[in-house]
Amino acid sequence: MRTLQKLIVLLHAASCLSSVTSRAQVYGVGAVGYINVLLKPGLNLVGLQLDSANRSVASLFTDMPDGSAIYKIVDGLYATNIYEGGRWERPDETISVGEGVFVFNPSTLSKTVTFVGELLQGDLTNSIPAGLSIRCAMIPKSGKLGANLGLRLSAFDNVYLNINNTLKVFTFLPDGNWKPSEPSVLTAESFVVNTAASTNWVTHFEAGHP
Amino acid sequence: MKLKSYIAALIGPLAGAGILSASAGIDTVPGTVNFANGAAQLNAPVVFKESGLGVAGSDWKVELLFQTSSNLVSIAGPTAFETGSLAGYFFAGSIPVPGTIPGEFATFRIRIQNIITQFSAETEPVEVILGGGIMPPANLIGLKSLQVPAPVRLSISNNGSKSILSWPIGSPEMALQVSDQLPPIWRSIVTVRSTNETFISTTVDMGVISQFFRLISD
Repeated sequence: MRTLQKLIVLLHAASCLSSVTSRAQVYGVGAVGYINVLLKPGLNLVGLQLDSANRSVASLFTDMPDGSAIYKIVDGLYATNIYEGGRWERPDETISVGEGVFVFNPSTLSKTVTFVGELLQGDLTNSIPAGLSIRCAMIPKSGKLGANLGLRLSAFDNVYLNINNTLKVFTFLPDGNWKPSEPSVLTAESFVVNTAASTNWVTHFEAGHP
Repeated sequence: MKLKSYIAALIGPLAGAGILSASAGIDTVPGTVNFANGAAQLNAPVVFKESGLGVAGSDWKVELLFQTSSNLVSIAGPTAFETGSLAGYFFAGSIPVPGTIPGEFATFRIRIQNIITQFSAETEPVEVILGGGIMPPANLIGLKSLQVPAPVRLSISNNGSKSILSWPIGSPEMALQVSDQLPPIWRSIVTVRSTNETFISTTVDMGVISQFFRLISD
């Protein structure tokens, strides 16, 4: 059973100008929002999908239970950041939009953290290095990695989802299908990916005007 | 990064944060391996020696063998091969390796077997660093593509008072056996053989009510 439940509210800054002769609608720049991320006991694969000026661990994951941990893959190896005595070991460690981390909740209770920030728009490129990394969609969207989120890998590359504290393996096949099935993620859920060669995950997003 | 420090970097976070500790409410996790021959940095299909085509069919099975300190133990399978464009491949997923922990070295072989012909072959051993916890199951990197002989099919045709038995040329050396009854009691027979470009054939008299033939490797 998936471990993350979120609520997204998009606030679209808008204003209307009217004159005697026209009522053209004018839209504000940018779209912002928040995501409530539920951290269940144990391991959670979390991804950052909203941009903000402060993307530090201390800002994103506040008031965590002692013993919490963040595992981030750096150059193919895990870097650990432990929360103890009310603070993170490395509070200034940052997470980029489109990047994911493991978050370990040592408590028996779920904990909710809230991400706030701006929706990135336009052509979005998520660089996936060769080897191991943790990635997520660069916009708060759920669905199948290929069919809905536009991820294309090379033959036999692997994706891993955290299901009941176990990493389940998915293989991208030469014909573009997946084994055992195409992996699907929820909003703000990330996945571990293991690629033979680096690749760019390119998507396009517009907040959209009616 | 040197191997020791790699393992420390892998195990340390897991142990330090209680991932490997029951006190954290998470049971100790075993090491895991991805039982597949198509994965990131791995492309090792099992193919027929004669044609180069991938092995497929319900009579072909594959097992994962784990080398313990004293034995070679089957820990997954027998599982079937894929078909169609994926013939030669198997994708059995993440397998927990009993008695191990994540980050530990482990050695595996793959056993391929034809359940009809009883043909069996094993790959060379492959050593990997096990996954588990936050580490993905280890891919069997280093596994080599295995070539297996295609099953030898014996054919029979009627030529008057004789029957012609034939099988593909290029097969391993095979002996012909006969039984006059079923259930069979097989005995080897020696006959004169001839060959063309594709088949080995031999002729036997159809003098008795019925006889049954099979090939067996020499």
